[in-house]
Amino acid sequence: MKTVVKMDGLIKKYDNKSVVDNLTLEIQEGEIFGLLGPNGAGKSTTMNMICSLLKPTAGNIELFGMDIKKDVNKIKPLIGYIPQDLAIYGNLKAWENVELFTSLYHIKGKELKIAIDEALDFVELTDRRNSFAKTFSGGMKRRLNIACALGHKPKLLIFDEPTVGIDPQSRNFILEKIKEANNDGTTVIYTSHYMEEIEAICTRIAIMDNGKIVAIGTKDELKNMVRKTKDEDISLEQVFLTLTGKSLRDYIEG
Amino acid sequence: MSKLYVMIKNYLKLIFRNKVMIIVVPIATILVVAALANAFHTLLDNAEDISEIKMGYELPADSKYAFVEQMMVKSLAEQDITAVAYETGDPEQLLNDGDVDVFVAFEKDGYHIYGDDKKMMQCRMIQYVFFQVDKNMAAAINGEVPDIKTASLETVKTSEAENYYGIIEIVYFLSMSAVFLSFIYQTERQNHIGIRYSVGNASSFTRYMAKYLSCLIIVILIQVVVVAVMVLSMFNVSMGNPVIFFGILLLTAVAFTAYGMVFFQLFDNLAVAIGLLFMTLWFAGFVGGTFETYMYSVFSESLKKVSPLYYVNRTLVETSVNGSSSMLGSCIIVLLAMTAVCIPLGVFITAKKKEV
Repeated sequence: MKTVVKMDGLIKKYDNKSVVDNLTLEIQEGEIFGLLGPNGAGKSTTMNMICSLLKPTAGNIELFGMDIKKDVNKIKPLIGYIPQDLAIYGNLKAWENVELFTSLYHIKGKELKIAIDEALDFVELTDRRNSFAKTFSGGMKRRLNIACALGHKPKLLIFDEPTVGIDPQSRNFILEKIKEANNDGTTVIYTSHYMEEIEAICTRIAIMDNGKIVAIGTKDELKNMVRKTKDEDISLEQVFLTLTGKSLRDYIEG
Repeated sequence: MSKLYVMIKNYLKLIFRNKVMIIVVPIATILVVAALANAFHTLLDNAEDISEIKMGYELPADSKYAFVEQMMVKSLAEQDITAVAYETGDPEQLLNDGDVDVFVAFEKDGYHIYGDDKKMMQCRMIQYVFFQVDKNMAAAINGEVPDIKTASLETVKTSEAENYYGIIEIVYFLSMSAVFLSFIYQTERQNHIGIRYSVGNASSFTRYMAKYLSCLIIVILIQVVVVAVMVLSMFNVSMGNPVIFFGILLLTAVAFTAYGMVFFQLFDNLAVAIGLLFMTLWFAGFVGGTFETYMYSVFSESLKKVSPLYYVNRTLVETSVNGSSSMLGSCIIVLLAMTAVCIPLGVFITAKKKEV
């Protein structure tokens, strides 16, 4: 199996305070990798560094065997990023949104038209392709948000809490689609505060706190870390709370 | 190229779908022109209520104007301009003593018009008259019969307020052209759309130019073509020289779109960006002749020259009256300099301000 993401001694500091602290991690091809952590744990900063939105203070990131500092333009087309916010234009139609964001990756002409059709078909919005995004329900907007990151057929999909504020049906649909994309060979990094989502789809999970990985493994491996008896029924949420503590995290962005 | 085309195409759709802006800008321009032209009509009329002008002149024998002297004096007299010849006139002395309103010192191939600040309108009228003289003399050199016709004072006066404010408000609204992008910036900030561009494979230059060019296309279509043509025809505004007139309007659109975008890029808060942009434009307009005519303005020439709008206003107004303007070169340089500074600055801010 190939290594898709390799982070080595990754550090990100703001005002001399480490937000990501000496992070070393590998994500393999075909994984659905879950990144869990309380607010301020360093998840978003880590993902922003993977997407080359932020420069690390120290350490290296390799994606698909390429150094992110040297080969950023070769790496970008291989990544699809689905932000937590609905990063779509309400006054553009569904297909126009997908067209605009897919065109950023040098896709043009007939290839662009096919890419738009496939992306909309994947999220089952083909019949609403000519509707303005502002007329969509919350779930449909989330699906369009995903479609906008799929047009250029990335090999690595990064989901940042893609199911916030939507109904269970839409959430289930999105999770199924993530599994479908993964079955087609796409590697996925997934963050969410919904433990049941992580548990349902992720093949491996890392729990971050204070910029460090405090535990990493499959869901069963994580559960075994905190199980007191062999037969104890334990949820991922209990694992998370045991490893990161129960105190409230009042995190100020930036 | 295809990437830029798709981005421009979709930005144009976004701007056109914001119908309020598309409708409000042309209507506001016409309303302001009408209001200012009406409000200042009386003022300008009073200022221009000049029944006669006394013009002193010194005309050497070797001047190209010497052979039309008699004809010129006669024509001027018909228009209530009394021309008095001086052998060796001291313009400053004559003006200070109130012997003449304006003094024209002819040279071999040209002339200088002397006047003081209180007689600016008389100077402009004489300038206009000699523009006509030159035109007719040029025709004479081409074999046509010299016919020294000067414009009457009435001709110079008519529709002055509409002419002035028509031109000046086209320019002023044109200087605000970047507001067409405000809706796009607002949507992108609210939804954090910028992150998609940062993750995507588009350079800062492409991202900047997509917005800049789409705004410029809209501005040229709406403000240079539709609004300018409407104002010109509705208020009977004279362009003087259509090539210079529309050329300067295009350059103004190019420069001020880049200028306005800098504010939208620098300030995340849209209200602050628009507020500061309008403040700078208001100041530029205030000293540059947008509200008070630059001819009667109390501001010093050096303060007026701080305002890019002054160069544009004066060039267009002078072109409208005289067919040409001594300010043309400076105006082009100022607008090109603005563009040359603001576009690289905009690209730089786009590159530095990655949304995370």
